[in-house]
Amino acid sequence: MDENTQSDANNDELILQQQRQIEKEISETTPLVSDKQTISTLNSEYNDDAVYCSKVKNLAEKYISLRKTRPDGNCFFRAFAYGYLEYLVKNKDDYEKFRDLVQKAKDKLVKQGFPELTLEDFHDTFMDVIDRVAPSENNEENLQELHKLFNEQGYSDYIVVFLRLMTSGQLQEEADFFFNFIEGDCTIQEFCHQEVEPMYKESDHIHIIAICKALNANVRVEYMDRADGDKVMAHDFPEVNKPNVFLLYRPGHYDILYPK
Amino acid sequence: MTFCAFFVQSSEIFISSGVDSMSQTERKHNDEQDIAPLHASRINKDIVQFFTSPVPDIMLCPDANNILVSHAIIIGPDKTPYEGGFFYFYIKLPHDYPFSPPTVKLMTTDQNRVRFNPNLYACGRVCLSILNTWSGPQWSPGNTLMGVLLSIQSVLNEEPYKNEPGASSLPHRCTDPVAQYNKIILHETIRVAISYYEQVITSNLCRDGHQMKDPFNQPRGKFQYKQLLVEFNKLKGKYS
Repeated sequence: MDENTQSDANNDELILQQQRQIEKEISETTPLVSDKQTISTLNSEYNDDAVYCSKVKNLAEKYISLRKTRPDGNCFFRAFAYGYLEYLVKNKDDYEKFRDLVQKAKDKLVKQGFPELTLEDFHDTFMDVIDRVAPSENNEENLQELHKLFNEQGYSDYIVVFLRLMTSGQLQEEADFFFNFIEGDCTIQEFCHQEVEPMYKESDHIHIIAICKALNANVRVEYMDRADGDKVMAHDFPEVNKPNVFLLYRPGHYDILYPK
Repeated sequence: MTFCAFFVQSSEIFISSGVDSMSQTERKHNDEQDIAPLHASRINKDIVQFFTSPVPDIMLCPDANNILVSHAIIIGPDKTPYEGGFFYFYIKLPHDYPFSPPTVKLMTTDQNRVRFNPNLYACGRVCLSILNTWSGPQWSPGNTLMGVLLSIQSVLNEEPYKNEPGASSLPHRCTDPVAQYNKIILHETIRVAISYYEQVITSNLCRDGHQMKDPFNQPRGKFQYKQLLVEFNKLKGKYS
């Protein structure tokens, strides 16, 4: 640790200020989860890029629309939760199983050593959201409620926190297995403390595999990057099941997709 | 109650002597207006924990004017060079707490002159991974204010020299750097983190020799501030 302390502290303060400013600008211009947009709106982001444009075209052959999520490092968890709940609202049996899983998740995490004091707030909020969108005669209303809740920062972020903790719980439960997927010489627990539990940390395959397993979800991710070829690459988590959540991945970011 | 009053009084001494412009400007803003109810209830929960499940030698005093500000005192643990010292920490919570970590500043530094620990800089900066000011397990919303203060308490340990990463591979400027560092910290603890008692004693000298009149009518003897000062100076002389 350097003794160059005063300037360190000032720099921290400046960086923090700048970060806040950027976050503020993003939050003023980008909703947490957008309304549905057509796939072709992506073209406007890649005007002159032939690779991307041909991939957007390919994507539009399979999907009818997408919802963009705010790029704040929590986009995977937010997109996943939104997409999965949208599916569950329309599938009562799976909804009931899911509700039961989440209901029991708190005690499970407490047993694993997560502090109950903070956990229960996140859990209560998540359960509250799940109950408020319970499948009913009028699903249109439920979906509107879902959209509203996911765009309220408090609810939306509390859901993200709980999913992060569940992901961490799943990774630690199967530490022997997941250990093979992490780089560097850290333990799964250290990895969770550094890359899973903190907010704003981006998600990777390992996060997706763990949360899908914890919540019995099947996610298809369509990969769209500058790599050669004119098609987007689909990957299913886990590979054997029919997906019920569809996400678009572009380097560093996830959005929600709606298949034709 | 008595202790609380004492704590508030002593923290006022600390505050008036130590807190820089940071808190003065904070007080002018009415932060509470900007805080979502979910965040406010979580902050209260964090604070209440100090009173429902208190931990020895850690005290928290929420700021009366600003829900985002708290004052904490950690008493140096026994058998460490910090023993008996009062370390005052100024804590500021971010608007999006608990999504981002609190910022913590050590105010007991003899006006930015003493670095009490490899993790506690003279400018008051607190280097801890839980505060995202150091590498390692980062802040997560599952952490609490209590967790932060316990982490700080844990760096006030028996061999603070070893808190420095790679301390064992540093060039040896003396034969036993661990003991050498402890000698310095012990002295500075007494000089800076205990000596404020001197102020308290001096300001009460006028009571010396007066009868203590107990409101419950118990016999108490006389105030002996002069004697306390003598003892205090003896102690101080021993380590100066």
